[in-house]
Amino acid sequence: MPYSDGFRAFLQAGGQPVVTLDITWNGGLPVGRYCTTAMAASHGAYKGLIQEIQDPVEGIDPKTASLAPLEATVTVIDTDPPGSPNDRALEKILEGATDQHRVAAILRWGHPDLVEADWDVRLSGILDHWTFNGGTVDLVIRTDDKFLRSGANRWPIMPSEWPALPEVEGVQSQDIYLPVLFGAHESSNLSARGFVPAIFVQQPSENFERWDFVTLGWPPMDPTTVYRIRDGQQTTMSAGGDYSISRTIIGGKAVTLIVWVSGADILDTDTVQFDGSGLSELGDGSGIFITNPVTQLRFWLVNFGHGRWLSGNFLSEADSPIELVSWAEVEAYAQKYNLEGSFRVGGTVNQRTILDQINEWLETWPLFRPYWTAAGKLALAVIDHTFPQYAEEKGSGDLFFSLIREKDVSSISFPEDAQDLIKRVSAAHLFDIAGNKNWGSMDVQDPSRDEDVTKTIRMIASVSKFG
Amino acid sequence: MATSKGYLYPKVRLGASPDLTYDANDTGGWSNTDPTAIDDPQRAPDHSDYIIAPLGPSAGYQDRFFWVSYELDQPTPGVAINKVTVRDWFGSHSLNNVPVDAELEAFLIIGGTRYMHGGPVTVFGSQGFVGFAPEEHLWEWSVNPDTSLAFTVDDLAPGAIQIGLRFRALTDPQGANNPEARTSQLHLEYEYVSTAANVEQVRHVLTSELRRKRLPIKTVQVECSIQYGDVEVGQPIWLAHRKVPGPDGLGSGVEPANRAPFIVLRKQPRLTQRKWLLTLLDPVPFACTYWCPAVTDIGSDVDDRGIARLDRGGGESHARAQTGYVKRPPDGLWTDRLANTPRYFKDFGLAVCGGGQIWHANNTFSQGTGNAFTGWTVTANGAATVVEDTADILFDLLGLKRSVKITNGATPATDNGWVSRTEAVEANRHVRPFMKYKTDASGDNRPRVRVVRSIDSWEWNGTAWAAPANQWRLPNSMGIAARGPDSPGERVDYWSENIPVGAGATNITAYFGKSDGADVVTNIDAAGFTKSASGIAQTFARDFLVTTTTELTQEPDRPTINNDPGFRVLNGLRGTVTFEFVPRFEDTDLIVGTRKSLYQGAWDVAGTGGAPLQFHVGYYIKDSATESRIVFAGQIVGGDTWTAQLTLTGDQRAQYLRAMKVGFRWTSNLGELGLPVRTLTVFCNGQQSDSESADEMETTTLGSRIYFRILSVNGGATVDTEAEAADGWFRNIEFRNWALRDEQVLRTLG
Repeated sequence: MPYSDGFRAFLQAGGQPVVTLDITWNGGLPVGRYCTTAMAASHGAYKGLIQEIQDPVEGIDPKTASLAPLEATVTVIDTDPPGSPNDRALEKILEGATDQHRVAAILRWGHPDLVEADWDVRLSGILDHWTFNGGTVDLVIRTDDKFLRSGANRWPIMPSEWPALPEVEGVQSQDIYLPVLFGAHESSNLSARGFVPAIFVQQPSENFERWDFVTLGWPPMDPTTVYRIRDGQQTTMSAGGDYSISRTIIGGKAVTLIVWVSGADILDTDTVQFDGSGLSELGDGSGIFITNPVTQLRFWLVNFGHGRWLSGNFLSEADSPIELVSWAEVEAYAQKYNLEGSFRVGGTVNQRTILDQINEWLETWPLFRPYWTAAGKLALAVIDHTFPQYAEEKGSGDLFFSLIREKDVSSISFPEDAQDLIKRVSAAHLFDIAGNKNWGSMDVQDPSRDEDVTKTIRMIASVSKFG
Repeated sequence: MATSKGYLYPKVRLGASPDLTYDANDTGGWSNTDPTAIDDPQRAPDHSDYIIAPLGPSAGYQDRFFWVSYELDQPTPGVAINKVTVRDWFGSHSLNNVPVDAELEAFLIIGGTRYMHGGPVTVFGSQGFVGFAPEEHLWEWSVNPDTSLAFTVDDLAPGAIQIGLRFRALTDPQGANNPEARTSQLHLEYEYVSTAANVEQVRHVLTSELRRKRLPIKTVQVECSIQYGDVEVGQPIWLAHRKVPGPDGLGSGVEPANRAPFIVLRKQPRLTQRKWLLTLLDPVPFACTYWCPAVTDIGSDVDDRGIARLDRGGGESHARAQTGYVKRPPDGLWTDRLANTPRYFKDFGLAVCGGGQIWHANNTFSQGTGNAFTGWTVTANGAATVVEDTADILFDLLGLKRSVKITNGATPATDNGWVSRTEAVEANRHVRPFMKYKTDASGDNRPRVRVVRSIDSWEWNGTAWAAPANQWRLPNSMGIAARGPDSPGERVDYWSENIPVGAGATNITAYFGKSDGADVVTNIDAAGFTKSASGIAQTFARDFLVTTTTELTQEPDRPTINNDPGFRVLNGLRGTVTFEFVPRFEDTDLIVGTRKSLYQGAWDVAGTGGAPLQFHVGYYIKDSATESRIVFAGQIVGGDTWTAQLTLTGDQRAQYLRAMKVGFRWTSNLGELGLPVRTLTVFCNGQQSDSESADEMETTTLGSRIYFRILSVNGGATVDTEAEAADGWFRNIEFRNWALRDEQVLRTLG
């Protein structure tokens, strides 16, 4: 995150900040304030107990996308002063009656001469764990990334919400996590039997018609084609004649269903697959469905990954850990190159983590790089092939921060990484969820390279349609 | 989205009446159902061979149906099919004056079911004195009748579909002499949409990955003062330090254009030391505004999978008003490319041909049957043979899969053979004989070429027309001795020098294939000669355009890269363009004063097709018999023109198929990394010109474009003439919107 104007002015005036650590203890305890030098009560009463810091590393790798949390270890002297009644005060808090794991912690550069609002946040996260060393405690502060380890899909099909689940040999719908669909899935001229499997959620009876589940949420458009698969043969079913599309709320969740009409030629042993498009940015099912792959991932993270949207208006991005500016820049990049994505999360009995889902998406889009910011937000970068140009347009003030001068450099090296060079990239795209196969392939090559190495990519999340 | 058409020809006959599988009336019998009799290319039906069903006898003719079905070739993968059409040329013919009319209908067999089209037509019989007079019939299906859905590629795959015809006599064949239903052509045409939109998305992602990982990744680790942490990951930062590696050993400086740019990858605060450890990415190895190697050894298809390409989002277009042909990777066989698509050649790159040359009919020996080749005269003396060879092919296109095989006997003086062809040529034109062939001979035993004009019966001796002397010449390429192909067992090309036919219209006869070696075997896949299209133009004929039944004039290739604002790959401020150019011509081919355009960068273009007001041109120009130049010029229309140039003499001048490594660079009023300010510089094959002073062109907000072909700075505006097209191939094309240093340009060019 950029420096505040006040902090920039402070630095330009030659200011020398100190390191502060604020921990918001549980149990009604006052905020723990630790610093490399003590500050007076008028400036927060920071105790000068920070002995050492293993600094956090923010950023990306040029070769691979790996999302690691931002983490710092702060070694705090746990005597205040030695032999005083407050001796081992930190230990007493950490081992006290209230669990202090995952309490908010913030590491900053500050200074008594600066208003606290201008202090520079270097890591905003949680106290993850600690180590007692005898006289000192290593506090491990990290970004709050626990949501990444949560399930990417949360709502299994349960009999309590779907009371007429099919009782057909070989058909299991219970415990499948309800899927959510993004982008276009169109099997025309490929399998021509529907790329997306519908989930049989209501067995027909005298009282019920058959239902097949399409997606969580209400896509703005009905499925383009619904196929019945019987004995391996597909048959195109008639919208209106054989089925209708219902956007409804079941179990508190907005869902889209294929509702079969009475008398339709559909057997309990038939499976149903369809082509269609996923959600729009509006919870009421209006608007245009989202095609930009970066928007799709952001939208999924905000509402289904981090958030727990059920129905109604979609969730506010402000409540999510998404660093919106960086995502907007990458979305603009994807827009410029007409990149389109398609993916579906859920639809299996296995629950995947959100991190797994992000990593799968990144395999399709290897030019994007997620990373954690010091502010504890999830940012996204693109390694753009365009040149940053020269800095002549920069004003002198900007150059103070953006032109690294030799006098300000204490060490410099120019490492080169010649490992894992490639000559060719090979990808499978046009993913068919129902068939679990890719229908298209593409290679690009630079024959002038010596290393005859091919990098292969399976593009699960690229657009699944022709043209 | 534009549609294209593909054709699937009969490969194997799978069914024929009498066979009652589909109908009890399918009792008619056939005398010939050979698929090779009806697999003529779509544009060139050959009515001299056909499949045959006798329509007699008279009894029961109304209920006697004939049918035949065929399995087809493999369709193009990865396309969306709009519709399919079965096309046939069919006629009912009898040898006397009693015609027999017929009722005809096409069908598809899918999944074991025969789907009749549903629209039978009446075909009127022809009489003996008329001869066989087939007519064309079309039968269209917009959806697969088996699924009621659009056809898929898999629907058309061998084994999935058969096409066929079913017919019966409508009039009594009684009294007709040998009444026959003859089909001379049958195939399935499918109209499809390319998946290009998807392909280009994927191509961008993959090329971006390739571009970053094909060269070592250079980074900087710098521990610096606290203020430099005020930059975001992925954003640029600049470095002024004497240790920044560079070819001059001087590092980078604080002057505006001497600051080395980097991209922030990682930032680690040294919290207690009030410093930052920054890891920065050097963009120079991978950054570009356009990159296309234009070559691959991966098998390619209509969407040019295998070709890496990266721009700034605007894309590019390739205009060409006819089907083109390419030597494809990886096997080097020739295949076709749709109109308005790029032509990437194995090893050579993107073809840019000015067109205009005329290719006579049947230059591939595809027309004719058996050992006859339409339009060609076959001569086989003594024990020599000149026959068709359907196993040894150069053109992997149905209908073109054969060559002429010339086999000498043991006594070559008398046991030899050749093929020859005569074409009328207007006065003052040029011709250029060529031959695509493979031989087991070498040296003086290689197959020879002879060119004769009828006006005086003189023969071409390599440099001039001379009195008749049986001038059988060895294939010295481009008229230069010892440069002709001499690679026994390999497929090679021979191209003659550019031959002026003289001041009078004449017939030109070209002979190909005579060898002086015993038992020499030569396969000729294509041969003939191109003609220039006008009295003064020369024939740059190293390209190849397949002809079958008719003469064709080659249309030009027009590649254009979108350079509009927002997508600009180049502007007038500063930049570097590098590429390899593989000429299809020799410098000696060129008339003094001829220009071959290599690149034009235009911006400030008002409206589509408007003349640019600011532009660059880079071109090769022949100044004299001994000197040529590579010129790089910039111009503001109505203002000044600046020119840098590099003089080429001797072997430095353009040579057929020898790559020229060309670079153009321009700097702004800042200079860049110590380069002189506001200059233009030309690089070619390790040499560079002086950096000539120029003025700075403003970056405008108007549209623009990049060409690889046209140029004319005469008169201030560009003139889009084909004569100045590059006539060659481009590969390893890189654009940068900054000025590389001299050494970097040379390294980029390799």
